[in-house]
Amino acid sequence: MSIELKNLTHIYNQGTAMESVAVRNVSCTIDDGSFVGLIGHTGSGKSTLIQHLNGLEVPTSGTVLYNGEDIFAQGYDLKHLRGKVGLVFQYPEYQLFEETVLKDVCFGPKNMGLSQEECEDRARKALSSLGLDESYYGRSPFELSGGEKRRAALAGILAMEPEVLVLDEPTAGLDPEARQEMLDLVKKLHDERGITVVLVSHSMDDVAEYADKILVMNNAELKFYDTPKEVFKHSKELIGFGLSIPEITKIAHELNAAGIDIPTDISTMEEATEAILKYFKKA
Amino acid sequence: MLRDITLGQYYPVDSCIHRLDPRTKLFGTFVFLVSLFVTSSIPGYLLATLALICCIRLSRVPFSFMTRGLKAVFILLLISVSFNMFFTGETVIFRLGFLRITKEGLKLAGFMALRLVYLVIGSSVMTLTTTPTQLTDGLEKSLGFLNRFKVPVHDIAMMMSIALRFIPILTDETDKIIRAQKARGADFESGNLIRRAKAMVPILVPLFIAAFRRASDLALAMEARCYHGGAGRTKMKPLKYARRDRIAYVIMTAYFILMFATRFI
Repeated sequence: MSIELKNLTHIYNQGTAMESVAVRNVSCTIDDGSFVGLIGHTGSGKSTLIQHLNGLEVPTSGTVLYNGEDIFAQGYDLKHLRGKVGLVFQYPEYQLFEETVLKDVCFGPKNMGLSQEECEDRARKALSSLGLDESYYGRSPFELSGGEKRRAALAGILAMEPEVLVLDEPTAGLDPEARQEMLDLVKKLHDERGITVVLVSHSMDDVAEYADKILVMNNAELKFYDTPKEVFKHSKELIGFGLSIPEITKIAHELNAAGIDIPTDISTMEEATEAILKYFKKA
Repeated sequence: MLRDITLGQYYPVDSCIHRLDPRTKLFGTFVFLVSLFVTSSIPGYLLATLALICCIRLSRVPFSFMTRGLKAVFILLLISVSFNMFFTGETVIFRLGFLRITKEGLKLAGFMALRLVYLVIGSSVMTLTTTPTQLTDGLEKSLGFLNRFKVPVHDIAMMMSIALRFIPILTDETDKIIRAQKARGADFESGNLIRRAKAMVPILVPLFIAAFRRASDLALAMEARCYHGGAGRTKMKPLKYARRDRIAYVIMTAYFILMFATRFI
């Protein structure tokens, strides 16, 4: 149970003056149950890459295997795949269209051919897991607040009960509180239901805190794919890609430069606390 | 599907046609179109073909882009050609039931088809080598004399450039919405006509909302920058004729005189 990318290349407008390579020869495996942070500068090919995971984009060359099966093979059921690999686009609230929140969330399950009761049942479950209670069901999705709209849109994907959840910048345009809530929700889905998560972001801090593996894209190419600890060792290269390292890692680097000997591969607050306490004990 | 619209489809390369002043290109296209109707002889069409090929080669835009616009007028082309072929002329060369093909009809139909095809390709050369902004700038300046007759030229030009600017924006937006709904399992390709029409709702509603949101954002942004119509507004890149434009005008005049002369051959 995994997604495997094999020598994936995507070229837009091939053969014209507008030709541009969005993804160049990317190979990697997203293991079942993992939490992958996909990070890269604007235009590094992140969004194009993730649209291959559920077959929305067809690669110029290379392919994607889902549970060992080639999803671009003739006759592969892409609609079924899209129920399994849920893709939440950037600003997903712009795709809301129904009269009521409940109806909108039912759209996905209904397309999968489920019965009305089953759809509503799943919609209710998805909405409540995202903290939207019954009072929201009958309301128009357009009268909700920004954060609520986003959660309603996310519920629309969750109601299909995917095995893999791919989120493209789910925190874009949210205030700090709603942002934290959103990330905690994603974390909860991953921990409690065992959903595989691919979180696209350009904030290292978000990714460092939640992901167990980080995939770094730069200029259409895959640069690193490793645990946060390993990836943050390459801080110089990361900065060269226009990315930052987490604030806490930066502090560790600066402490080191100031002669305080603590490890520089720290990426979370807990690790930092531990390392600093250890340093003081030694001293 | 939406990517087929050639209108405002600028092809970004650097060529001497691209660098011409938009007014020169507008006038040139106009001259070319008129010249197609001035002549009706084979030497005339040869000259027009030569001129068109020169322009296409100079513009460095691949030929396949020029012919994209033809798809849209194909039906019109078919109808006008068959009407001319079957219903005009005297000298019958082929007869099948009540249908008859005449020598004159065939000639007329051929010219008509050429005219239509050249018309489309000729205007494609202009739209492919001129950005929409340049185009409206050129139009505004060329039609400036209408201001005297109280025609709000600036406002019309502004509306046109905004409309043109919104085509790619809304195309992108539509594309994004289609993808987002497909990711939710939406199916736009199967089913009968009514089902397909119904399947458009999840695209059209968000698209409408997006269009209004964009429009109101733009209105706000324009007001925030003190836009109040054309009076006293200056340009960041004012249009200025260069040497190449004068050369182009000379070539155009020569071309038109030659085309006119072919009438008397």
